[in-house]
Amino acid sequence: MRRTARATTTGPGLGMAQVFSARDGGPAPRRPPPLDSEVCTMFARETRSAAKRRGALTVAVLCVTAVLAGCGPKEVPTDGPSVGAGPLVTAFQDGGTSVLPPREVHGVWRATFGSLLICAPVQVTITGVKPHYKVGKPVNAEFWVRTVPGTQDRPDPQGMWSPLGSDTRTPADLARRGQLASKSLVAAQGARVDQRCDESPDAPFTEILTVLSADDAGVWVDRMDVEYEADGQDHAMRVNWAYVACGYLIADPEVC
Amino acid sequence: MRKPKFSRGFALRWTAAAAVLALVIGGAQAAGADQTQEADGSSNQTIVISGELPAGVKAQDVEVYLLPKDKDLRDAAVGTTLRALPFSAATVSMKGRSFTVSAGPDQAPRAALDDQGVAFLNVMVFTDRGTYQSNSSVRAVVDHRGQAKWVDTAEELVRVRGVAARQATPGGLLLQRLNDDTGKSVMLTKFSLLPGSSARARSGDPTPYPGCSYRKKGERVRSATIGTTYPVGNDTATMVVNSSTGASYGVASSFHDPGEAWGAFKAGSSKHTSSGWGFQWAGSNRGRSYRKGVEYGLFETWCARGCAGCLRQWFPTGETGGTSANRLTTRPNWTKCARVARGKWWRDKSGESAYSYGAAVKFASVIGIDLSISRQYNSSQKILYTLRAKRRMCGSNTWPSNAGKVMSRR
Repeated sequence: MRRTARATTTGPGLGMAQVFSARDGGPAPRRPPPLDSEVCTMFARETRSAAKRRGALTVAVLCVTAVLAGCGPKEVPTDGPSVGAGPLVTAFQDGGTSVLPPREVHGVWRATFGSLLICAPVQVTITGVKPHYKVGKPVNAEFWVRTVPGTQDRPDPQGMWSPLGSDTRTPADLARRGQLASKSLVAAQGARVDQRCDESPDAPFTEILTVLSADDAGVWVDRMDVEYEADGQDHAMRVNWAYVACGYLIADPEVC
Repeated sequence: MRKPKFSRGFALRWTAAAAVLALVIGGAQAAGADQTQEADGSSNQTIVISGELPAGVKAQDVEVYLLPKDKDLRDAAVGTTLRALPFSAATVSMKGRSFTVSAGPDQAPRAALDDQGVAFLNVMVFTDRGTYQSNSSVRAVVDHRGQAKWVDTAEELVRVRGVAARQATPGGLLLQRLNDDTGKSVMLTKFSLLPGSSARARSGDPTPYPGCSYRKKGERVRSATIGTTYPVGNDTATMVVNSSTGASYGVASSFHDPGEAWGAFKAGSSKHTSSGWGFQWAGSNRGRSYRKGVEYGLFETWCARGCAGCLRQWFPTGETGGTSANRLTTRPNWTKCARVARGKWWRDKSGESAYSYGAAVKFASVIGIDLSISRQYNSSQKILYTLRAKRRMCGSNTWPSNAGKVMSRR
């Protein structure tokens, strides 16, 4: 079977996502939540019926590895590497996605954004994700790296393997409900990304998910820098796609 | 991220299709960088045009002209003649069947650069087997070192509060600044061209200008599709153009063949035309194509030798600022989708997947073919979906965040 690209990502498991507080005027490390292998469990449950299919065991091993390798979040440096010259690329163009708060929710709510597909000719390690807040600040911001196998390697071809646009549920919630299928889903901080660039429609992909916990003021991220290490060098990749959790601070009718 | 690639090649003469003349325009880092000119010490980023003639064809001369600015083309009355601006500072080097032309923006005739630094190059290669010709739009910019250079018209420029950032070059040109903080010389597009015409002068033909000139034969306003949206349910979609920076539109060409007849118009190269207008369409829940008016002029090329009225071309000369929208009755079935929550979704800039539509300019009623449009999304020109429920955004050729066209689905 022809594999168009390799997609392997390892790092801290779910629950060890990069978690920041905005209380000090910018992202700052918070105490990480307990280790949680929920997504791996969800995935195992999802694929139990297809356990004999090739790939399921690999996924389980990856998940366990990811959880066992878990380590605490790392503070994002205030002055990171210069943007633009490294091997990591994204096809993400300029634009944005805004999400309205769920009608039934009052207070803090969460908006998950995806579709930030990344690839590189070499293995890279994500060292941080730096959002730029145009309006508001999140209560928390988490970043995840999700890998999806190529079409031919998916244990459940009918699963929800597409990139995620946006949702008002977390990746864990989505995975639990069978609405987000992944080969691996790990915290972005420290995640090793081994995803070659391949534009064929059946190719595997690696996606960065951003989870913003917002209050009723809202949060507008107008760009993000993904910082990473490749071949011993520090780099950063800028993403000019806006992520907006709508709130009363964001009055632009073209945004919310 | 890779830069978009636009093919500017086109066939001008259909008699020797196998004979391809490669024409390469590049920055100073191109293969012909040794041809770099430094006329006044400021212009080391030259345009490099190199080509190779077909076997058996002997080049006699290579000349580079610049089309007058769009405003001059628009203002000219039908029947008048506009002189082609010779790029006399260009250095031509010929070796066997190969040639190379070099010249920097500082050396270009000022009258050929519009207020956004865009010029339209016309390369004439006179040979013992006829005249070969090709053309392309290029933009003169200034890089972070203050040096003038040519780039693709689609290159991203620095904007400050919505206004183009400008900087004077040592050569005295006031140019827009290139948004290229790496300091690398930006490679321009590569394109190829096919043999041109060998039209002979006819009795009664007027004596042309020395060099080349363009005689205006007609003008038309056509509409061009600049975007499409396909909302679903009670969602709405719109397009917002706060300040159109123009676009590249197709050029239609017809050669006068040796049999004294005009060949059919054929589409091929493109020409950029700049503008500055804005419009916001009202949101609608119907599938729509968004259109804008484009002025075209029909020009006949005359050269003192090798081309006595040999070529007629419809050039875009400006955007009218007029707009319209057509309802689309059929929905595509794109399947590269990403689920999205209730909210808004927009695209306002694109690198590789700029909107490109091969039949966007409606010209069929005039010349039998429609022409292309190639435009970049930019920060003041965007499509916007208002999603009133969970949807899927789907892209025409890839995932929606990167696709050339997008639609929403249930």
